[in-house]
Amino acid sequence: MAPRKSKTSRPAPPSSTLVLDNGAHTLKAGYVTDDDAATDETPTLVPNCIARDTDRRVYVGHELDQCKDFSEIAFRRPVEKGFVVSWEAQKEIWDRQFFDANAPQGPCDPSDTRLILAEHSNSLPVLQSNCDQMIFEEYGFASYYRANGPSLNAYHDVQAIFRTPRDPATVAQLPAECLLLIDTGYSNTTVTPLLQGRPLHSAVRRLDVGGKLLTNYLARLISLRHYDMRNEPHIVNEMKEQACYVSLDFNADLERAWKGTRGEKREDYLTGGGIAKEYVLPDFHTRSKGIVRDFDPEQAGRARKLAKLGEATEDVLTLRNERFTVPELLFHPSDIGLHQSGIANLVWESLLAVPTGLWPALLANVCVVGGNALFDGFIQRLQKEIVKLVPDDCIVRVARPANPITSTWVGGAKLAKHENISGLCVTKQEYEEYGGAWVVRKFATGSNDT
Amino acid sequence: MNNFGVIEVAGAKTTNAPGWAYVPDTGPPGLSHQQGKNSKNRKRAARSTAGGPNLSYADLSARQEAKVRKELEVLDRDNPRDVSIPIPAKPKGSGSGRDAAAAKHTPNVRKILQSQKTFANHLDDWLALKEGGGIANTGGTATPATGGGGTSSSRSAAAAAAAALSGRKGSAQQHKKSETPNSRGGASSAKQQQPKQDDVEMTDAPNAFGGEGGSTILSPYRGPLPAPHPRDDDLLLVSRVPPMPTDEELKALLAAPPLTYLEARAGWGAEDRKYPVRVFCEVCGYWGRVKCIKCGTRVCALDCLDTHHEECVTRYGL
Repeated sequence: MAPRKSKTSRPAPPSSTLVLDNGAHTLKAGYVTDDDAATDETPTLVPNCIARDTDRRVYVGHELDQCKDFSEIAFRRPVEKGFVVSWEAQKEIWDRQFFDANAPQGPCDPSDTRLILAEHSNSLPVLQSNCDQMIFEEYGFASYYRANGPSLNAYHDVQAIFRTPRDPATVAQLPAECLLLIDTGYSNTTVTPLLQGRPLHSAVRRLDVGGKLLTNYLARLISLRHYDMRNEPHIVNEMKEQACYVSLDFNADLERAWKGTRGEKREDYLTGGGIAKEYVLPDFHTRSKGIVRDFDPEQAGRARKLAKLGEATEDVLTLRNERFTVPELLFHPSDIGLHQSGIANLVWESLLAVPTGLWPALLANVCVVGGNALFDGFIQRLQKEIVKLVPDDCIVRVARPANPITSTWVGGAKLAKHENISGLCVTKQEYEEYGGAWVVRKFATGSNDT
Repeated sequence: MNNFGVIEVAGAKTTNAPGWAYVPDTGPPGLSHQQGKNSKNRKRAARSTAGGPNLSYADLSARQEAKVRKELEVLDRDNPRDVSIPIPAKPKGSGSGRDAAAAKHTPNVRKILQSQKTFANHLDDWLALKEGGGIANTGGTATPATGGGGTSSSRSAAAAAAAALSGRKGSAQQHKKSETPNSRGGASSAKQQQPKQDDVEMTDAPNAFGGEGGSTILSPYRGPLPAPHPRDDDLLLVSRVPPMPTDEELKALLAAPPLTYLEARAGWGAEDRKYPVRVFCEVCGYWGRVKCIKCGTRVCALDCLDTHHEECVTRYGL
């Protein structure tokens, strides 16, 4: 083991910290300076992709804002399954976001910046060392912490999220003592029990269902039932975000959305039953975003007549059971033949790897982050399902932070101001002196001395 | 009504009539022909013995299995078609001071940037490397602290740690029934029970992580306690809380190395097998109550069956 470098020989810590949650769908980034508490705690959200529209114009990262026509847009994403795989593309996106002269969040001087980069759990060693090499050898950041993404969420005031009744004067203990974090993002969903802000690695579980799969599944359903939308990932994604919800009573909802057997006129089907919604597709001339509106049987009939005559002014999809069968995959992946546990069982599997004594504390603090947490009803449904599985007298509390998408980033920003950070980071000198393997080991154990 | 005392008994006699019969069909193929075990139809009997109640991919017919797999692959893609979007040229005027340096990457960086590998490639590489047993000492790929071969057994090591606690599991089930007014602080009162006995051992844990004064991993509960109740000592009402893990156990847990990518994947456990797999109408999405005779596709009712028949083709490889 390499001799430990004494603290005194460390150079002064860099003046600012770049906190970067490099998600597969969006990249969350922002600078944190530790001199004042007044820094705005909201990151910039950048699409982490290189996109090409039908005119073969290419947009990199933030340039996607300029795109007006999202029909048949194709994406190249550097992050696969949560891990940066294509550094060629990732470098281009980072360059244009942080390092170029006219970059919106730059130009950043890596030699005077600390980087906190959130990564997914259970990465491949190759990808981790690739990442370290790029950070130090290509960019040359002064110091760097490749943090486990879920564990950053422990640096929130978790009890405020759960609205625990308490003395208002109490200072939140950071990192939170016990937290069961569910991160349900673009590529997959992970369950991570956290103790003092450190993941219990042996209990981390992953379900390969994420926002991407849900979007693709919705696209498939619509292509089967309405129009071919398989080449419109962007439109379908917006549709999913606006119209889908997690059903609290799946069987009843499915029943209400059914059209019935032949010749049967079911009341719920004809009136929409509170489930059917109309989605007006964007045409990118007069309308750049789709609109959700309530299903109106009369209007739908009129629109159908107009469409027959070829005079329809808008393309409308009627969404019925698609609205809730799509997010349902998170709870029942076997519905599409994916033989994995749903989220609730995933929590149970994870708990089985943890001593029983920790169960009450973990179950009382289940926090959900990631974009899928924004589905209506997700939290309530998850709570219901977990309660069914665990011992009766465990209190189960499930909550999501105000903004589940940026939650990991905000946690990282709080870590950047926390005293822990100096011990966790690796400086460029240390990397050069001890080598990549040492860095990997240090990040893996997450402690000061290895 | 009791139907005038007449009880209808299912006839034991079966006729081996040609043609067709209604067969109640409640699950994916394989499960459906359980009752045909004694039938004279050899094909049906063979199918029913092959697929037990434990459904798996193997129970689906090969064609359906291939279809499911193919569909899952499609669902996992970023783009419906294969697209290759090259890195666009930098716009003018965006040049930074780093451009000069960027011209000469270090060899490592050049290798990484030129790599066209996908995640699946990396995963295969890594598996092959692990099979070869040489994962610990390969130059480029740094492994976590577990060292040679340790990664593969990490989940089992963790399981061993959990097995040490298996005695406590029983108590978890046991305390299922007690629910008292003050079990609201179940977690916290558990912490309170934990005496501060093992405070001295934490020398190697970094100060940054220690709770209070870096002495113990879990700090004792200091919040307000619920008001005492006259029947707090009632044996029927007393709440049992699972014993807290000791500091050694917690330390072992915290020190456990990360699982590998495949180990962390959620399994298809006993809890999931409890209920039969749900099947849906492939046309409208309602429950898939009947099957197309030709291809086995699930539909809900006649309307959807007609829709399906319009495009029902049985082709090889579909």
